Amino acid sequence: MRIKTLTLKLDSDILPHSKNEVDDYDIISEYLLQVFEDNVDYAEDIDINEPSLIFASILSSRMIEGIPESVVSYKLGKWGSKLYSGDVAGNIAEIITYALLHQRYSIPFDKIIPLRPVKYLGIITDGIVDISISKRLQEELDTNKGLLFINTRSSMIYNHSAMLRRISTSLKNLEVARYQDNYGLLSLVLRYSGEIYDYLVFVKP
Amino acid sequence: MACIDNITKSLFLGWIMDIREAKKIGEECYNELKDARALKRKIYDIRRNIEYDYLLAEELRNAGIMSTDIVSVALMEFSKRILNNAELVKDEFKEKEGLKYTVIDVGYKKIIRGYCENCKDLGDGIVTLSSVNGVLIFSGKLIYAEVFSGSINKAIDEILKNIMRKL
Repeated sequence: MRIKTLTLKLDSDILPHSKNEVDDYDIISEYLLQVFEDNVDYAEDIDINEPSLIFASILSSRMIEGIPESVVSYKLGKWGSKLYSGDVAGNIAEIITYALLHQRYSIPFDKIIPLRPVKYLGIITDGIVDISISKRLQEELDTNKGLLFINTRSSMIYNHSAMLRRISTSLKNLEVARYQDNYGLLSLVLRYSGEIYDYLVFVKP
Repeated sequence: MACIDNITKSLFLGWIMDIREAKKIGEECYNELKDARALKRKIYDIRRNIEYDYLLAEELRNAGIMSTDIVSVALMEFSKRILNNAELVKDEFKEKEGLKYTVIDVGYKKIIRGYCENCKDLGDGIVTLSSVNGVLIFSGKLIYAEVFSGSINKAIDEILKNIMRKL
Protein backbone atom coordinates (compact mmCIF):
# COMPACT_ATOMS: atom_id res chain seq x y z
CA MET A 1 0.00 0.00 0.00
CA ARG A 2 1.41 3.34 -1.03
CA ILE A 3 1.47 6.16 1.47
CA LYS A 4 3.14 9.53 1.31
CA THR A 5 5.68 10.92 3.73
CA LEU A 6 6.99 14.35 4.47
CA THR A 7 9.91 14.86 6.82
CA LEU A 8 10.70 17.99 8.78
CA LYS A 9 13.44 18.59 11.31
CA LEU A 10 12.85 20.95 14.15
CA ASP A 11 15.56 22.39 16.34
CA SER A 12 14.50 22.04 19.96
CA ASP A 13 15.86 25.52 20.71
CA ILE A 14 12.73 27.03 19.24
CA LEU A 15 10.55 25.14 21.73
CA PRO A 16 9.97 27.04 24.98
CA HIS A 17 10.82 25.28 28.25
CA SER A 18 11.38 27.89 30.91
CA LYS A 19 9.44 30.60 32.73
CA ASN A 20 11.17 33.44 30.94
CA GLU A 21 9.91 32.11 27.60
CA VAL A 22 6.37 32.49 26.28
CA ASP A 23 4.27 29.38 25.68
CA ASP A 24 4.14 29.64 21.89
CA TYR A 25 3.52 25.97 21.15
CA ASP A 26 0.35 26.97 19.27
CA ILE A 27 2.36 29.17 16.93
CA ILE A 28 4.91 26.42 16.35
CA SER A 29 2.08 23.96 15.62
CA GLU A 30 0.59 26.42 13.15
CA TYR A 31 3.99 26.63 11.45
CA LEU A 32 4.28 22.82 11.27
CA LEU A 33 0.85 22.50 9.67
CA GLN A 34 1.60 25.33 7.27
CA VAL A 35 4.76 23.53 6.13
CA PHE A 36 2.69 20.38 5.61
CA GLU A 37 -0.03 22.09 3.60
CA ASP A 38 2.50 24.01 1.47
CA ASN A 39 4.55 20.91 0.68
CA VAL A 40 2.04 18.08 0.19
CA ASP A 41 2.89 18.02 -3.51
CA TYR A 42 6.50 17.21 -2.72
CA ALA A 43 5.73 14.28 -0.42
CA GLU A 44 7.72 11.13 -1.03
CA ASP A 45 5.93 7.87 -1.90
CA ILE A 46 6.67 4.81 0.18
CA ASP A 47 5.23 1.34 -0.25
CA ILE A 48 4.19 -0.15 3.05
CA ASN A 49 4.22 -3.93 3.01
CA GLU A 50 0.72 -4.93 4.02
CA PRO A 51 1.99 -8.03 5.91
CA SER A 52 4.31 -5.92 8.05
CA LEU A 53 1.22 -4.12 9.36
CA ILE A 54 0.21 -7.36 11.10
CA PHE A 55 3.45 -7.48 13.07
CA ALA A 56 3.37 -3.75 13.74
CA SER A 57 -0.11 -4.22 15.20
CA ILE A 58 1.30 -6.43 17.99
CA LEU A 59 2.96 -3.28 19.26
CA SER A 60 -0.16 -1.15 19.20
CA SER A 61 -1.89 -0.32 22.45
CA ARG A 62 -5.28 -1.86 21.75
CA MET A 63 -6.30 -5.38 20.82
CA ILE A 64 -7.27 -5.12 17.19
CA GLU A 65 -7.36 -7.71 14.40
CA GLY A 66 -7.58 -7.61 10.62
CA ILE A 67 -5.27 -4.63 10.48
CA PRO A 68 -4.25 -4.66 6.79
CA GLU A 69 -7.94 -4.60 5.78
CA SER A 70 -8.64 -1.74 8.19
CA VAL A 71 -5.66 0.29 7.04
CA VAL A 72 -6.49 -0.11 3.35
CA SER A 73 -10.12 0.82 4.05
CA TYR A 74 -8.88 3.81 6.03
CA LYS A 75 -6.92 4.97 3.02
CA LEU A 76 -9.79 4.50 0.60
CA GLY A 77 -12.24 6.13 2.97
CA LYS A 78 -14.53 3.14 2.44
CA TRP A 79 -17.81 2.97 4.30
CA GLY A 80 -19.13 6.19 2.89
CA SER A 81 -20.52 8.18 5.74
CA LYS A 82 -18.93 6.13 8.52
CA LEU A 83 -15.71 6.97 10.28
CA TYR A 84 -13.40 4.90 12.41
CA SER A 85 -13.76 5.41 16.11
CA GLY A 86 -10.96 7.49 17.59
CA ASP A 87 -9.53 4.40 19.23
CA VAL A 88 -9.17 2.55 15.94
CA ALA A 89 -7.86 5.59 14.06
CA GLY A 90 -5.29 6.13 16.83
CA ASN A 91 -4.25 2.51 16.58
CA ILE A 92 -3.90 2.71 12.82
CA ALA A 93 -1.61 5.72 13.25
CA GLU A 94 0.57 3.79 15.69
CA ILE A 95 0.72 0.80 13.36
CA ILE A 96 1.53 2.82 10.24
CA THR A 97 4.27 4.65 12.16
CA TYR A 98 5.88 1.43 13.39
CA ALA A 99 5.61 -0.20 9.94
CA LEU A 100 7.20 2.88 8.39
CA LEU A 101 10.04 2.91 10.95
CA HIS A 102 10.60 -0.77 10.19
CA GLN A 103 10.67 -0.32 6.45
CA ARG A 104 12.35 3.04 6.04
CA TYR A 105 14.90 2.81 8.83
CA SER A 106 15.28 -1.01 9.04
CA ILE A 107 14.28 -1.07 12.69
CA PRO A 108 13.35 -4.61 13.75
CA PHE A 109 9.95 -4.80 15.45
CA ASP A 110 11.50 -6.23 18.61
CA LYS A 111 13.59 -3.07 19.00
CA ILE A 112 10.57 -0.80 19.23
CA ILE A 113 9.38 -0.28 22.80
CA PRO A 114 5.72 0.64 22.80
CA LEU A 115 4.63 2.53 25.89
CA ARG A 116 1.26 3.96 24.91
CA PRO A 117 -0.51 1.73 27.47
CA VAL A 118 1.18 3.79 30.21
CA LYS A 119 0.89 7.18 28.54
CA TYR A 120 -1.62 8.11 31.25
CA LEU A 121 1.41 8.79 33.45
CA GLY A 122 1.65 12.06 31.53
CA ILE A 123 5.42 11.89 31.19
CA ILE A 124 6.08 9.30 28.49
CA THR A 125 5.53 9.05 24.74
CA ASP A 126 3.88 6.31 22.66
CA GLY A 127 7.14 4.54 21.90
CA ILE A 128 10.92 4.57 22.15
CA VAL A 129 13.70 3.43 19.84
CA ASP A 130 17.41 3.31 20.62
CA ILE A 131 19.06 5.27 17.80
CA SER A 132 22.22 3.15 17.90
CA ILE A 133 20.40 0.15 16.41
CA SER A 134 19.62 1.72 13.04
CA LYS A 135 22.24 3.08 10.68
CA ARG A 136 19.63 4.80 8.56
CA LEU A 137 18.12 6.49 11.58
CA GLN A 138 21.60 7.65 12.60
CA GLU A 139 22.05 9.18 9.16
CA GLU A 140 18.65 10.83 9.35
CA LEU A 141 19.39 12.38 12.75
CA ASP A 142 23.08 12.91 12.24
CA THR A 143 24.01 11.19 15.49
CA ASN A 144 24.95 7.70 16.56
CA LYS A 145 23.50 7.59 20.03
CA GLY A 146 20.55 8.62 22.13
CA LEU A 147 16.92 7.67 22.41
CA LEU A 148 14.20 8.55 19.95
CA PHE A 149 10.92 9.30 21.71
CA ILE A 150 7.95 8.77 19.41
CA ASN A 151 4.47 10.23 19.59
CA THR A 152 1.78 9.47 17.02
CA ARG A 153 -1.35 11.39 16.14
CA SER A 154 -4.01 10.67 13.59
CA SER A 155 -6.78 12.43 11.79
CA MET A 156 -9.15 10.75 9.35
CA ILE A 157 -10.83 14.02 8.46
CA TYR A 158 -8.30 16.77 8.10
CA ASN A 159 -9.32 19.58 10.37
CA HIS A 160 -6.74 22.32 10.66
CA SER A 161 -7.75 23.73 14.05
CA ALA A 162 -8.30 20.33 15.68
CA MET A 163 -4.86 19.24 14.47
CA LEU A 164 -3.26 22.38 15.94
CA ARG A 165 -4.39 21.45 19.43
CA ARG A 166 -3.24 17.86 19.04
CA ILE A 167 0.19 18.84 17.76
CA SER A 168 0.66 21.32 20.55
CA THR A 169 -0.20 18.81 23.29
CA SER A 170 1.89 16.09 21.64
CA LEU A 171 4.95 18.32 21.35
CA LYS A 172 4.78 19.34 25.00
CA ASN A 173 4.45 15.71 26.01
CA LEU A 174 7.38 14.78 23.76
CA GLU A 175 9.54 17.42 25.40
CA VAL A 176 8.88 16.09 28.92
CA ALA A 177 10.53 12.80 27.94
CA ARG A 178 13.07 14.05 25.37
CA TYR A 179 14.50 17.28 26.81
CA GLN A 180 17.50 18.03 26.58
CA ASP A 181 19.82 15.57 24.93
CA ASN A 182 17.58 13.03 23.25
CA TYR A 183 15.57 13.03 20.04
CA GLY A 184 11.89 13.16 19.32
CA LEU A 185 9.56 12.13 16.53
CA LEU A 186 6.04 13.36 16.11
CA SER A 187 4.39 11.14 13.53
CA LEU A 188 1.19 12.66 12.18
CA VAL A 189 -0.86 10.19 10.19
CA LEU A 190 -3.29 12.25 8.18
CA ARG A 191 -5.87 11.39 5.58
CA TYR A 192 -5.63 14.34 3.26
CA SER A 193 -7.28 14.58 -0.18
CA GLY A 194 -7.71 10.83 -0.56
CA GLU A 195 -4.18 9.88 0.43
CA ILE A 196 -2.56 8.79 3.68
CA TYR A 197 0.31 10.99 4.72
CA ASP A 198 2.75 10.22 7.47
CA TYR A 199 4.20 13.59 8.35
CA LEU A 200 7.37 12.96 10.33
CA VAL A 201 8.51 15.84 12.51
CA PHE A 202 11.88 15.10 14.10
CA VAL A 203 12.92 17.17 17.11
CA LYS A 204 16.68 17.48 17.46
CA PRO A 205 18.55 18.79 20.51
CA MET B 1 18.97 -2.00 31.50
CA ALA B 2 17.87 -5.55 30.66
CA CYS B 3 14.19 -4.74 30.88
CA ILE B 4 14.28 -2.35 27.95
CA ASP B 5 15.64 -5.15 25.74
CA ASN B 6 13.04 -7.70 26.78
CA ILE B 7 9.75 -5.94 27.34
CA THR B 8 8.68 -6.02 23.68
CA LYS B 9 9.31 -9.76 23.63
CA SER B 10 6.69 -10.17 26.33
CA LEU B 11 4.13 -8.67 23.92
CA PHE B 12 5.14 -11.16 21.24
CA LEU B 13 4.83 -14.02 23.73
CA GLY B 14 1.42 -12.75 24.78
CA TRP B 15 0.43 -12.68 21.11
CA ILE B 16 1.16 -16.39 20.75
CA MET B 17 -0.48 -17.11 24.13
CA ASP B 18 2.66 -18.03 26.03
CA ILE B 19 1.28 -16.07 28.96
CA ARG B 20 3.47 -17.74 31.55
CA GLU B 21 6.68 -16.64 29.82
CA ALA B 22 5.25 -13.17 29.07
CA LYS B 23 4.43 -12.71 32.75
CA LYS B 24 7.90 -13.91 33.73
CA ILE B 25 9.43 -11.08 31.71
CA GLY B 26 6.99 -8.64 33.34
CA GLU B 27 8.01 -9.89 36.75
CA GLU B 28 11.74 -9.62 36.03
CA CYS B 29 11.22 -6.10 34.72
CA TYR B 30 9.22 -5.07 37.74
CA ASN B 31 11.81 -6.44 40.14
CA GLU B 32 14.58 -4.70 38.26
CA LEU B 33 12.79 -1.35 38.27
CA LYS B 34 10.66 -1.26 41.40
CA ASP B 35 12.89 1.39 42.94
CA ALA B 36 11.40 3.73 40.33
CA ARG B 37 8.28 3.92 42.53
CA ALA B 38 9.92 6.70 44.56
CA LEU B 39 10.75 8.54 41.34
CA LYS B 40 7.14 8.27 40.20
CA ARG B 41 5.98 9.96 43.39
CA LYS B 42 8.59 12.66 43.00
CA ILE B 43 7.49 13.30 39.40
CA TYR B 44 3.85 13.51 40.46
CA ASP B 45 4.71 16.07 43.13
CA ILE B 46 6.54 18.23 40.61
CA ARG B 47 3.69 17.91 38.11
CA ARG B 48 1.17 19.02 40.68
CA ASN B 49 3.09 22.20 41.39
CA ILE B 50 3.86 23.52 37.92
CA GLU B 51 1.85 26.41 36.57
CA TYR B 52 1.90 25.47 32.86
CA ASP B 53 2.45 22.15 31.04
CA TYR B 54 5.31 23.44 28.92
CA LEU B 55 7.44 24.05 32.03
CA LEU B 56 7.37 20.43 33.19
CA ALA B 57 10.34 19.24 31.12
CA GLU B 58 12.71 21.80 32.60
CA GLU B 59 11.33 21.49 36.13
CA LEU B 60 11.97 17.74 36.06
CA ARG B 61 15.53 18.19 34.80
CA ASN B 62 16.19 20.82 37.46
CA ALA B 63 15.11 18.27 40.04
CA GLY B 64 17.61 15.80 38.55
CA ILE B 65 15.04 13.64 36.75
CA MET B 66 16.44 12.74 33.35
CA SER B 67 14.98 10.99 30.27
CA THR B 68 16.34 7.64 31.43
CA ASP B 69 14.57 8.05 34.80
CA ILE B 70 11.31 8.72 33.00
CA VAL B 71 11.85 5.62 30.86
CA SER B 72 12.45 3.59 34.04
CA VAL B 73 9.17 4.77 35.56
CA ALA B 74 7.28 4.01 32.34
CA LEU B 75 8.82 0.54 32.01
CA MET B 76 8.06 -0.23 35.65
CA GLU B 77 4.44 0.80 35.17
CA PHE B 78 4.21 -1.18 31.94
CA SER B 79 5.63 -4.31 33.53
CA LYS B 80 3.13 -3.95 36.37
CA ARG B 81 0.34 -3.88 33.80
CA ILE B 82 1.68 -7.00 32.12
CA LEU B 83 1.69 -8.73 35.50
CA ASN B 84 -1.81 -7.62 36.44
CA ASN B 85 -3.59 -7.89 33.13
CA ALA B 86 -2.28 -11.06 31.49
CA GLU B 87 -4.87 -13.64 32.40
CA LEU B 88 -3.30 -16.98 32.98
CA VAL B 89 -5.66 -19.06 30.88
CA LYS B 90 -4.45 -22.57 30.26
CA ASP B 91 -1.31 -22.24 28.17
CA GLU B 92 -2.78 -22.53 24.74
CA PHE B 93 0.38 -22.38 22.72
CA LYS B 94 2.03 -25.40 21.18
CA GLU B 95 5.66 -26.01 20.36
CA LYS B 96 7.36 -27.89 17.58
CA GLU B 97 11.05 -27.86 16.72
CA GLY B 98 11.61 -24.53 18.48
CA LEU B 99 8.57 -22.83 16.96
CA LYS B 100 6.02 -21.73 19.53
CA TYR B 101 2.63 -21.18 17.97
CA THR B 102 -1.05 -20.77 18.64
CA VAL B 103 -3.98 -21.48 16.34
CA ILE B 104 -7.08 -19.32 16.04
CA ASP B 105 -9.98 -21.05 14.34
CA VAL B 106 -12.27 -18.52 12.66
CA GLY B 107 -14.41 -21.18 10.98
CA TYR B 108 -13.73 -20.41 7.33
CA LYS B 109 -9.99 -20.12 7.94
CA LYS B 110 -7.42 -20.84 10.59
CA ILE B 111 -4.83 -18.33 11.72
CA ILE B 112 -1.44 -19.41 13.04
CA ARG B 113 0.63 -16.99 15.09
CA GLY B 114 4.15 -18.08 15.87
CA TYR B 115 7.40 -17.05 17.48
CA CYS B 116 10.66 -18.77 16.63
CA GLU B 117 12.86 -18.12 19.63
CA ASN B 118 15.99 -19.69 18.18
CA CYS B 119 15.70 -18.28 14.70
CA LYS B 120 18.27 -15.56 14.10
CA ASP B 121 16.35 -13.27 11.80
CA LEU B 122 14.02 -14.54 9.14
CA GLY B 123 13.97 -11.18 7.39
CA ASP B 124 10.69 -10.02 5.90
CA GLY B 125 8.80 -12.19 3.48
CA ILE B 126 5.67 -13.83 2.22
CA VAL B 127 5.28 -17.35 0.76
CA THR B 128 2.38 -19.52 -0.31
CA LEU B 129 1.66 -22.68 1.63
CA SER B 130 0.71 -25.00 -1.20
CA SER B 131 -0.16 -28.09 0.84
CA VAL B 132 -2.94 -26.34 2.75
CA ASN B 133 -4.03 -23.49 0.51
CA GLY B 134 -2.60 -20.83 2.73
CA VAL B 135 -0.10 -18.06 3.09
CA LEU B 136 2.83 -17.53 5.44
CA ILE B 137 4.36 -14.20 6.31
CA PHE B 138 7.30 -13.55 8.59
CA SER B 139 9.43 -10.77 10.04
CA GLY B 140 12.37 -11.25 12.40
CA LYS B 141 11.35 -14.08 14.72
CA LEU B 142 7.62 -13.65 14.13
CA ILE B 143 5.44 -15.68 11.82
CA TYR B 144 1.78 -15.38 10.84
CA ALA B 145 -0.12 -17.74 8.57
CA GLU B 146 -3.63 -18.08 7.22
CA VAL B 147 -4.78 -21.54 6.25
CA PHE B 148 -7.95 -22.20 4.25
CA SER B 149 -8.02 -25.99 3.93
CA GLY B 150 -6.18 -29.10 5.07
CA SER B 151 -4.80 -29.92 8.48
CA ILE B 152 -2.94 -27.62 10.84
CA ASN B 153 -0.20 -30.22 11.31
CA LYS B 154 0.47 -30.20 7.60
CA ALA B 155 0.59 -26.40 7.65
CA ILE B 156 3.04 -26.37 10.58
CA ASP B 157 5.30 -28.85 8.79
CA GLU B 158 5.36 -26.69 5.69
CA ILE B 159 6.00 -23.57 7.78
CA LEU B 160 8.91 -25.27 9.55
CA LYS B 161 10.33 -26.36 6.21
CA ASN B 162 10.16 -22.75 5.00
CA ILE B 163 11.74 -21.39 8.17
CA MET B 164 14.58 -23.94 8.03
CA ARG B 165 15.29 -22.96 4.45
CA LYS B 166 15.72 -19.35 5.61
CA LEU B 167 18.31 -20.19 8.26
